[in-house]
Amino acid sequence: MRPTNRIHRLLVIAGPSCAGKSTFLRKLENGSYPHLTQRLNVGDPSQLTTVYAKDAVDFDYRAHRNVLFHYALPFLSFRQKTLKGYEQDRRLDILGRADWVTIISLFADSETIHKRIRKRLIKLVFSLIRRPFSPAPQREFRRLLALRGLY
Amino acid sequence: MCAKWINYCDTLPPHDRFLIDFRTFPDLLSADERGTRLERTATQEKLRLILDKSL
Repeated sequence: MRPTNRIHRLLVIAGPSCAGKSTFLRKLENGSYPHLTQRLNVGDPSQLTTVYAKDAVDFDYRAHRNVLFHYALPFLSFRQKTLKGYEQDRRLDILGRADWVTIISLFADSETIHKRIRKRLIKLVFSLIRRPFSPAPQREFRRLLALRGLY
Repeated sequence: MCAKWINYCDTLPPHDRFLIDFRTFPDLLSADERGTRLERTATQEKLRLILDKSL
């Protein structure tokens, strides 16, 4: 059978940074939410492939029938206010590849989100002190500063 | 942010849609947040999914 770029079932996990998307994904994959996976009809959660938004455009979708898509919604960023709408976001083209889409949006109050961003920034500062030239913490640090309108 | 995202979702072809309410989903709380919030959510359903249509 010819490999196809089509996704059978796509679960979009959307929410602002620090809303708990990664925690939710991890728990969904390791079977912590049997009630939810049953309701979502996704079969064996360990067979789901996770795709992060940054990789979505170039990802090779062949042989990945059921996909979890991690998508951060813009939040309180002066920079991101200038972004065009979701319609212009090419990473969301993944939705057009799927035979069936389920969108799960996570929302948290802004006070909690701000506290979590602050905590994550502090952790990243310590991480950068330990490994000052590591690119991943640097990128994450800049991203979080941007979310708080500081970068 | 929320409204824009929901408006965008409204333009998509038919799909399932759920909103997970952070306050009624203690699993998404960190240990220090859980201490204060669980008291408020203890009597509520642990996992509460609300169809977007009900927003």
